[in-house]
Amino acid sequence: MIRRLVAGDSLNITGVAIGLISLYTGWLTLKPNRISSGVSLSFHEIAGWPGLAIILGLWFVCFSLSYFRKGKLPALILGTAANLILVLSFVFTGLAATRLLGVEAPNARISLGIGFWMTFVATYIMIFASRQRLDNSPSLRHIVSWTGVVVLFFLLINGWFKDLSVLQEFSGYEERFIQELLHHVFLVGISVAIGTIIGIMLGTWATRSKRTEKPIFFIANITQTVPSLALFGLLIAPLSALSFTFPSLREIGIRGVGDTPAIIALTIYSLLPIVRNTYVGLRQVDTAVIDAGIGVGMSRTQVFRKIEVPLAAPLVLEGVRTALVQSVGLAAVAALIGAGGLGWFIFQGLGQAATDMILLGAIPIIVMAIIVDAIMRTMVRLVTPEGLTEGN
Amino acid sequence: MISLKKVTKNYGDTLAVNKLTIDIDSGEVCVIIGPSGCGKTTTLRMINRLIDPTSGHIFVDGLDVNTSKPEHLRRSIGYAIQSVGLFPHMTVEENIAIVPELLHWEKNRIIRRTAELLSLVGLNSREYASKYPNQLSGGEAQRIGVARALAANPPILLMDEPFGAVDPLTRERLQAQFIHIQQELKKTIILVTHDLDEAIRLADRIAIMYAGELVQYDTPEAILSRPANKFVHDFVGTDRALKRLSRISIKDIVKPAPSVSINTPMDEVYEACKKCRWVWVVDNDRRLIGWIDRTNLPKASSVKEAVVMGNREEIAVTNNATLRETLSRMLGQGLKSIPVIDDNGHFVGEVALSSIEAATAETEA
Repeated sequence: MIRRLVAGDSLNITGVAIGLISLYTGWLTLKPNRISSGVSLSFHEIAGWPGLAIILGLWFVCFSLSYFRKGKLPALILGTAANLILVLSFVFTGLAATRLLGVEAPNARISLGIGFWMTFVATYIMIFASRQRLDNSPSLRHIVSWTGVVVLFFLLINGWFKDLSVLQEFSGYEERFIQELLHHVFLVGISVAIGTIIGIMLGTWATRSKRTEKPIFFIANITQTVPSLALFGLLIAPLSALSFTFPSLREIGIRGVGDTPAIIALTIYSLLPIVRNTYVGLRQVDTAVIDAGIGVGMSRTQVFRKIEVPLAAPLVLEGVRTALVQSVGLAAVAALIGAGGLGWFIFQGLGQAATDMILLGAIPIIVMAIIVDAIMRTMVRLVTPEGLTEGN
Repeated sequence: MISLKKVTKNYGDTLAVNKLTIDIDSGEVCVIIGPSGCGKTTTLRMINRLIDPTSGHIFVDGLDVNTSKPEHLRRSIGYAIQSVGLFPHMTVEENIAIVPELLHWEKNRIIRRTAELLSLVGLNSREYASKYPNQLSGGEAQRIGVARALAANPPILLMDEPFGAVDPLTRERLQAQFIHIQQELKKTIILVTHDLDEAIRLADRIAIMYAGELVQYDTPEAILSRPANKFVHDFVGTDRALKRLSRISIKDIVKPAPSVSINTPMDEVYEACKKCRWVWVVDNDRRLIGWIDRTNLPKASSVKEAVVMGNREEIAVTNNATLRETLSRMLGQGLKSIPVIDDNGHFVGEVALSSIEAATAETEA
């Protein structure tokens, strides 16, 4: 209704509105040192009036395009404008940071303000709107989605943003960052791998008999409701007791704190989505198909291997994807019980009230979750049997 | 070929099949029919050991089925079910090849066999081989189901309501094709259905079951004319005379009839019309295109002017139709005679009401 009244793309207009407001809110915060509070600068103060004019112009283009909803060209222009705004905001911000640091004391910190993040969100709303309009041309959709990110990545590794506080924080902890990043990947990888094996077994077992179905789901559901912090904490006591009683366990690294409880907790959390999806995946196989399989003379194992597994595989992998994305986030908490990972920066940052350090942990976790999600989605697509995708 | 000796199956207190004894001869179509819950599907599924009987014995070719491994037994017995159960992640070709593959056939042989079967069930193998089940219509899927059951050329075929899930028109076609294929292959077929018309049309012998027991086992003709008891009598219904008509094919009673071509001179047309009121008109390929009514002749100077054109499918019946369909068409349209064409539309002859009467009188006797 509103859409018809305004005659424009409401998603598009929302994005433009957020983008415009963001230009008048605090874009950068200039702090005399790492942890003190500072002064807020708005966009024209960091990019100058010409910079503001360029960005305003691009937003105007986006706004007008919300009234041209048909065809590929407007969608493509919209995507390009959004990507330009994204890249330019980063570039202006990076340049401003370098300039400001030259004038201010070397200890000063320049961190990103609410305005910057709002623009970031707004550009992605525009990119999303453009993607929607490009529904039938996947290649253009990918170009619109990824060009800005790729450009930013190259600017990032070429040091264009090195004077932003998060990256200053990074340069102070470079070695540690890489170490914790890899450790984060290790924690997630090993626990989801174990979770996948156990989860598939439990899920399959649950479909095989009514007697097992209930307790398996009861346990899987219950564990999911335990708050992560509590579960990590709960494991400390029994594991320390174990390692005290059996010193040999201690020697192979099983202790109340550290990796062992973290991996156990993350494994338990990854169980539910995998068990559930394995169960549903196997259950949704048409009984007539299984009956036909047995009827033509397949053995029970052949039915499982040739019919049930390929038909359930996409759903099982979908469960693994959920488990992975969830674990990437949950693993942050593992730092609390001494397991390390990117959570270490978050908790150190919290302790020191250093926002930049928190971001140094949080941003990579978000990026990692997005990447893992994209990879797993592709995998799911690859294992989906052709006969199940072509619905024509 | 197949014999069941005092086969009983009970589920707890309920008796699904009770001391069933039946012999099915080689190359015959035995249709098991009865109300739901009468044990017909259970009986069928005991033959390939999808269900094990509580007591009694089942012999295939004189061999107790219990002596062979269930998987091996099933690979030698074709199996087609109502819901078809095609494997959705496999192409039509892979679906058909499943049993030959279980039997470790050589690859080329499987490819040849698949193409052969597709053409047997009337589907173009180049077009259909690489399709997936979700791209098929209900009727096509059923035919693939039958092709899969026939893949390893088993002497026995078990079919559980194979034409149950399709629309009446498609069912009609599939049944006609079934008869055609069976004439060619001469398999021993046990087919379960709840559709009496289907049973009468397809069966060499019908086994009527009720509450787990065999009530009557005989040819369709015998069942229709001499129902064993009140249950069978009620089951076949009051229209059994009509049902009997579906046992008779038009092929058997069609009589040659005069026809003229579009270029026939008018005096010959007058000659042809002397004997009857109608004369059928065909084109140069002898395909039916319409008819001439004698009363129209004086007004016309050529066949072209006198002919009443008609849609071939609407005015004629094909020669593989049953007498029952034909009669229903004639009564519906108020015809005394109806032209008969073959599958290609060529004029074959006509069927008159009087010859239908004669045919029913014969079967009555």
